[in-house]
Amino acid sequence: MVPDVEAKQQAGSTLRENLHLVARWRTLHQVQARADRAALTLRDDGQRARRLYLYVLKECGQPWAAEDRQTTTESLGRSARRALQTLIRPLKRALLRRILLTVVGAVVICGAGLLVALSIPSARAWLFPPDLGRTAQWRVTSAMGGNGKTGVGAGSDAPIFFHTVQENNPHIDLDFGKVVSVRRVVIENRSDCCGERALPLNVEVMEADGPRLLCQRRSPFQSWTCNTGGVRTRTLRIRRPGPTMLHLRRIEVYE
Amino acid sequence: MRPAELLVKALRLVSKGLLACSSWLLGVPARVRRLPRWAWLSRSDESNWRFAWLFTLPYVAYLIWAHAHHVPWRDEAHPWIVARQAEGFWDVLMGDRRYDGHPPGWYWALYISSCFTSEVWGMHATTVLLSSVSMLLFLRWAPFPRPLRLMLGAGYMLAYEYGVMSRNYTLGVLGAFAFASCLRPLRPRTLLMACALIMLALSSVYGVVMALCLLMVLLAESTRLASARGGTWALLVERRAAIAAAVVLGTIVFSLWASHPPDPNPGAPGIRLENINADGMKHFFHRIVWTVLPLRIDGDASFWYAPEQVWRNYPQLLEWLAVALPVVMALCLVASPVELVVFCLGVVGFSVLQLAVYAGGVRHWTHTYLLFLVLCWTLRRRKPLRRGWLIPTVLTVAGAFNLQAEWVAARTASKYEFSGAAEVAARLDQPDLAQVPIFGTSDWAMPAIMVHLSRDYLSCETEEVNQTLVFHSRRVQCSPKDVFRRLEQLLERYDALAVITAGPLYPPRSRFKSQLLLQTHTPTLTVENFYLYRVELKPDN
Repeated sequence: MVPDVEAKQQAGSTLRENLHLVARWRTLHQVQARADRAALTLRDDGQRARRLYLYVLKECGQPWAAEDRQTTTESLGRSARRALQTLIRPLKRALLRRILLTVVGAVVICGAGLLVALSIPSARAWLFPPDLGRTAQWRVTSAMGGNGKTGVGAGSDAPIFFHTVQENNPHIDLDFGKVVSVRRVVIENRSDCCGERALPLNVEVMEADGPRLLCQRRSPFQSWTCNTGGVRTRTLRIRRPGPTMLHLRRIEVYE
Repeated sequence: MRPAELLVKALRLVSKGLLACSSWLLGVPARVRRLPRWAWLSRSDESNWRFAWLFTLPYVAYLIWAHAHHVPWRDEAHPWIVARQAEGFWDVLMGDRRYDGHPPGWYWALYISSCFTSEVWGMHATTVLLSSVSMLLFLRWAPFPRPLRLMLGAGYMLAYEYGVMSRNYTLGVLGAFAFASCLRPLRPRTLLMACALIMLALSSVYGVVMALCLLMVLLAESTRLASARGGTWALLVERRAAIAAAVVLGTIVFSLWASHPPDPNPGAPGIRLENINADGMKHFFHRIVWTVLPLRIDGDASFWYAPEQVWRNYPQLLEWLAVALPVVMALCLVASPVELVVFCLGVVGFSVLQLAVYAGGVRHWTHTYLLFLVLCWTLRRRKPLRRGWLIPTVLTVAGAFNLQAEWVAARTASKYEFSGAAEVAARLDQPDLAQVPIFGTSDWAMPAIMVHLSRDYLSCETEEVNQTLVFHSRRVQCSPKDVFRRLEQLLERYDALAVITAGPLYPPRSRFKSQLLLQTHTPTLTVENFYLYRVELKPDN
């Protein structure tokens, strides 16, 4: 080959190589700028995020070598998220397995304990105390229409089991026949209408110097539980202070 | 060149020019450069918790001092009494709270505190804790320059109105700040953000509006438009974001249901859309000026309930600012259309609440400022390369006004009692009155006093025996004649009564023997200036 031609070819190939290097340098520079911008965003997240960022870069390989040269913050974010998910997935599975085993074990043990407890009458009464309201004698201050003024068993499947006339301080007294320790009183309001007539509603215990207030309900209710804290009494009074009518569906009393 | 191409080119040039002109104010792309030496002073992003802790601790010390000098008024006392009397979370939800017109979040937080103590300091401790956490998050994650963060944090609205006053809005501030703290584009914590929004939605009805607004930001962050083949577009929502949105929307519906009282009452009078008119809107924008740019007169004890005490002297300036300030606030958010739209929707929501439902006070009106602050935060977090100077400028002005108001508030609070209730409660606790039943002539005034005691009072307006009042419509206002009639009834059962009134009591001397035991010194909240009497029936009766 003629030396001049050879020199020209050599120069051409060097130029091409140089051009290629320049192009690559430009790409590198652009990618670096993008990465810096992303790092600026990531700066807030501290060292940990920076490590994650570097990890993602490493995992993805050289981004400029890939077909998709988009190294925007969004794609980085998705990659970071994917990498995180891959890392924590086995941990999640192990945790789920343990939780499942614990729950199944707890259900089996509690179920067995409950079966044993139900076979002992005293334990059964402690776990599921009988409703004293079912056997209590009740008396109301007045009765409207065909409703009774006294009865046994403070409850009904109908909307009401007693209905007083319009009067001042209407109330119903429950007599248990013996002194009992009342812990909880559950009152069901009239279910078809006029529930607001029962407000405010007092649960009182009869003492030597008159009735003593245990609980008061001031907001609307369908079913209200009054926790009395274990008061010993033979008679319980449910009173609506002020002039109105009183009507309830059920009164349950538990020791 | 064809005319159409020329036109396009010209339009491009014009838009470029406009963008270049506005970029200084609305945000320019940040360039990576070496930071100057003084950068630590003005840096907007923290890489650790040092700065946040360093300034949160003095803030906690200030809160403890301020709470020690603050006697809770009736609206602070009422939720604490309801919470400490409740028998569980369900009872809080379905009990006396239902009439208050607030979701149950704050009451639940107080109920948890009341499991440890029923004393009133439990409520103060809850507020200090929540407010301190809010401040810690703000100082750590808010992308504002350090001096600005300190200025805003120490300002009247965050430090006094939501820091010293023990109200449900403190929980809302924590929810909003927690949401903004979790919002990071590269590390999305969607479920945590949803939890923050749930907290926000459970705090108040204003919190519900804010939660709805911030949910849009969350969805904007997790949603993108993708082009499919055939020129169609698809809206892609991240799965977690969709779940979060469903849960937050469910909470919002729940909060609205739980805030709706069983009957209309003075606290929640129902919706009156006819009140939304030009005059009402004018008042609404005045309130924005009063709360974003609060100014107070030093030594004036009415600083708390008269936010217009300075602005009313400058009506022309107020009118001008009422237009300019919302526009400037909106301009701050132009860099991100999502934030701009959300801010506008939030302002509409707040205006409807204030005009059609309940006019409220400073604590309600400040939500516009709070929403703006949080949206500036999310904008700078979501668009870190668009950090303009308008947001810091506007926030610096607002922060300076807030600092002035806070200075006055702290000085005045150390001079005057906020309410006369603590003085009356201390007198009622003395041996000569410890066993005497308490009779309240006005139920609204009683919670402030009863929160310091563990006794019930006898109400004049209802047949109820309680430590606080229930805001139902069964209440009948007591005239002086009714008071004496009820006193006579009660004195047949009791030897004497401790009667609390918000004004002097003149019972007929022929029937009653009354003795003024205490009159409180005029407190900041003038309506809680109480009179305490001991009343007995005359022996010949």
